Order: sequence, then structure tokens, then C-alpha cells
Amino acid sequence: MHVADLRGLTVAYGNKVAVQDFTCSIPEGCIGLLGPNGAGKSTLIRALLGFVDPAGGGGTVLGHNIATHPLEIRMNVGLMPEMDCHIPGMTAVEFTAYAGELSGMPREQAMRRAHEVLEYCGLGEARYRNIETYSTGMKQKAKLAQAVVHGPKLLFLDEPTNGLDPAGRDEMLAMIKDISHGKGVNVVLSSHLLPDIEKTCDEVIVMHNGKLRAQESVKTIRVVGTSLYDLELKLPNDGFSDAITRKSAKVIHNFSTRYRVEFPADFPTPTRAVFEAAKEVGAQVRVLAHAQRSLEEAFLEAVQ
Amino acid sequence: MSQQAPIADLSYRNYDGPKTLKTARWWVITLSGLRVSFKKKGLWIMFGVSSLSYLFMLFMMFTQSFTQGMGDDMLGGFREQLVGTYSNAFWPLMIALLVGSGSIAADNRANALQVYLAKPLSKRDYLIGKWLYIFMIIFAVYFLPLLVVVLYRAFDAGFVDFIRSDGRVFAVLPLLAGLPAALHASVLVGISAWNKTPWIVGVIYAGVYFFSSIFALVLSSAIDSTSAVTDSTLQHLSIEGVISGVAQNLLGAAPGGIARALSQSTVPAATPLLLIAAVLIIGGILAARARIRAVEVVQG
Repeated sequence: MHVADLRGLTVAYGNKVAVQDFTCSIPEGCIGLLGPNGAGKSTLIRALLGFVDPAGGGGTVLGHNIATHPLEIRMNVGLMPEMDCHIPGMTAVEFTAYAGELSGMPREQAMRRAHEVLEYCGLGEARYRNIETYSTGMKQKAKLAQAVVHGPKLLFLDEPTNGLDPAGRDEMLAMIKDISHGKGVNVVLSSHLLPDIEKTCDEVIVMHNGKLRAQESVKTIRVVGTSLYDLELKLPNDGFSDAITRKSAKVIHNFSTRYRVEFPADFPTPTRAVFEAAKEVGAQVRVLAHAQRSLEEAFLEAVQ
Repeated sequence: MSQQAPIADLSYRNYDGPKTLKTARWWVITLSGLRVSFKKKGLWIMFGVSSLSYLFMLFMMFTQSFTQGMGDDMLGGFREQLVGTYSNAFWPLMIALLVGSGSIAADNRANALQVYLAKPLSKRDYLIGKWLYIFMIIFAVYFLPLLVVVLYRAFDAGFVDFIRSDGRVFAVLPLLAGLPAALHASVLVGISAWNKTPWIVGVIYAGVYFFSSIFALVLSSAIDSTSAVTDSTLQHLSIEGVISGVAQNLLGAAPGGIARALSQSTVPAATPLLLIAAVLIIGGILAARARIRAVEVVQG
């Protein structure tokens, strides 16, 4: 099942097209929305929430049309905006309970739930303080609390680790991972910080200049190609390079016990060839997997 | 997320309780605005000060009941006195500035609009919610002391006699409180929506309010009038003047007491004043509606 389906969505601010002919289906789970600054990530989220009218195309979120049923969508989604935002003159409890009430919760339920989510977000006793006195990290947590207070089915997080120190960042990412796995909440995490996406997301959508550049699982997008393999031997072995070369493979690089080898694209049994070569020279293969690149390399390739 | 073993289950649990898309979604915003405003001590102090003039009027009515008509020439009848007291609009204005200046400007400053509009609320719900709490507070500031004075008069003069002579006062009480409330609320939300700093909103509105009064006075002095009524109408071409002028029409009396000495003693024409009031109310609301949005759009 998909939480959102977009067909040819185009969003323009005057003459500037921010999202162009965007077609994709956002699956359940934790999805990373990747792209450099100005790629159109925030605009896409705003369009999904019905903040901006599409110039073309359309789509659905949780089965509701983004153009005709924005209120039904917003009742079932949560947004943690990128910018610092709060309602002036309120403590965190009042702010979060108020957010719950605005989402349609009864007042008593909203207040009870506000305490619950603020405790979960780690604000503890600080929840009775005015938000204006909070540090950046605490404000981020309060923003997350107001986004989840009404139990959304889908959560949009726009740069949730902005301005956080390393410990705060880890804490925030741990919460996002916890919420998005096994708790019935789907998350769309927009960020230009690749390690954040790598730590929390199952799938990524790469955007550049308002267009969809790639949509794959995090594991798949990091695979360099099906003919490239990374392998590691138990001990260094001088004869392994020659042995694997005799099996039609090309050694791309070798560092101590680690090798990256490439087989011809139509080679039928590359894994078997690796083990046969190891057996010939008396080596033991400890790791064998498709060669992977960092998410950063994959991202750069997608946007270039 | 708590790292220690808790007594209670502090892990994330989804909310599956009641949640409805209410028709009167703006009421939540109104209630919140009222709650935040009621916490301000200044509101209660100013309400007390604002009611002093009505207290003084009560005192005068009390003493008049012993002196049987003495001073009536100066103070005028009940409705004249009521218009005079009602026209002292300084403190209600201050209350309006206190509760209304930051209504939307503070949200703009704190980027709260994204929080509001990410919830199941439309721009209209947001605007109604903000407008209504300002309206309700100013309405109460005018209505409560007026009601006390009118009830005192009714029981003092004898209810039946009062209904015969000044019965219309009861009927127009909600309008007397509603017009300034609607005017202040509309113009304030209009200015507030276009600003990010509440005190600047206050300064702008106070400036418009007082300068329009001065302008109207200067205009009425400068233009040769053919009749006293025209002169009086020109004198009311300001926010303060509109409030006072419409009240005079509603009560059918020019101000008595101190106000009589300071202004014209003829009732101004109602139509231009109502027209100005309508323009200000509708203009303020439309100005706010044009500005409220979750996304800052920079055309380029």
C-alpha cells in the first residue's frame, strides 16, 4: 500500500517552477526525501499538505485528493516544519495540547496525550516552561511533539536535525526511527544530510531541480552495479588476484585482504567463480557482496 | 525518549481516541485567544479603569435621584449622559491594542502559521478564530458596564416608566457594544496580519485612530458647513467619530456631560458613518485574508 500517489504534480511560484511533472508512489515505512537545497523538497511537502495549489497534475495522500480534501489529509498527517515555529506565550504542554485540539481531539484527550508525547520526546519537567525559553534542541523536540500529538498516520519531517548538536541529533534520529518502525506511523523525512537518511530510512526519493531523479531502497541505491563485487579474505593471499583473473574477473582494487572485482556483465555464476578461485589458492572468503558505494556517492550520481 | 527503565510505559504509542473534523473549528482558536488574554493582568486593570466612567455616571445618577432635576441642563437626560460616557473610548482602545495587536503579528513572528495551517484548519477558520476572540473581549468591555448602568436606571426610574421613555436603549445595547468591537477587531487583524511585531501594530493602529480624529476635527473646522448637522458629521469622519456618531444615532441623543462641552450637540448623519464602518470592517478582514498563508511565496 502507498501512503501517497503523485501523478505529474507541478508546483510553481509565479514563473519559478519548484516541482515539475513529479510522478511517484510513496510506500509505507520511513522514506527519505533527498535533494540539495532548492531541490523542491519543502515545496513537495507543502503541496502534499495542500498549502500550495498545484499548477498541474495532482495526487492523493492517505487516499485523499490533495486538491479537494486538504483538511482530511491534515487531520491524519503531522508536520514538523523546517523553520523554528511555536505559538507565542505558551508552555510546551499548552502548545502541544493546543495542537491536538486543533487536530480535532477533545480537550481532555489532547492534554493527556500532550503530556505523554512530551515525556516521550524527552522534555520531561521542561514541558511546563514557556517554549520561548527553550534551546534549539528542545524546540525541535517540541515541534516533533506537536506533530505526533494527534497520532498521525503519516509524518512529514522537514530537516528535523537542523541546528542540533551531535548528541541531540542522535537522539532525534533514534526517536524518528522508533516512531517509523513498528508503531503504525509512516514518515517522510526531508533532508540534505545523507547520514540522517541512511540511519533512519528504508527507501529514498532523490529530487533535483524539482524533478524526481531516483526512487529506490537505501540498500539498492548504494549498489554500484550487479557485476561489481566486494570480497574479503580471512588472511592475505598473494595468489588470489591471479586466480580470480583466470576466472574472467578483473581486480579493480585490492587492499590487504579486501578486493573489489568486476565480472563481465553476462557472466553467469560470479559468486561460484569467487569461491572456486579461493579454493584454488587455499584462501577463505569471509565476506562477499555486491559492491556498495556510500549514499553520498549514489546521491551525487543521481543529481548529476 | 527516556533511557531509564520507567514505571509507566513511556515508549511511543499511537493515539486511537476520538478525533473529529468539527464544523466550528475556529472556536478552538477563539478559546485559546481568550485564555491567553485573560492571563494578562493589564487587561483586567484597564477594564477596571475603563469602567470608572460608568461608575461615575452611576454615582451622578444616584445623586441626581436626590436632587430631583438639578444639573439636568448640564448633564442632559439619561440617553445624553449615556452617549457622553460611551464616547470616552480611550481605555477600550487600549484594551483592543493589548489583546489584538499580537493576534496575528505574534504568529507571523514565531512562524506559527505553519503550525496552524498544517492542522485541519482553513485560512477562514484561523481568521474567524482570531477575529472573534478580540471581538468578544471588546464587546464585553463595552457591554458589561453599559448593562449595569442601564439596569440601574431601569430599576431606579421604575421599569415600566423606563421602557416607555428609554426602552430603545435595551434594544440597541448589543449594537452599541458590537460596533466598536467589530471595528477594532477587523482593523487590528488587518494590520496585524501584515506585521511581525505586535507593538508596531499597536503604534500603527493608535496612530490611525488618533490622527483620523484630529484630521476630522481640522476638516470640519476648515470646511464651511451649511448646517450644524453637516458640521457634526464631518467631525465624526474618524474611527472614534464613527463609533460615537453611530451610538448617537442608535440612542437618538447627542452627548451630554463633559462631552457636550467639547463637541457638537447635534446628532450626525448615520449613512456616511455606517458606510465608513462597513469599509473599515470589510477592508480589515479582507486585508488579513489576503496575507494569511502557510507558505511565504516570493514571486520572481
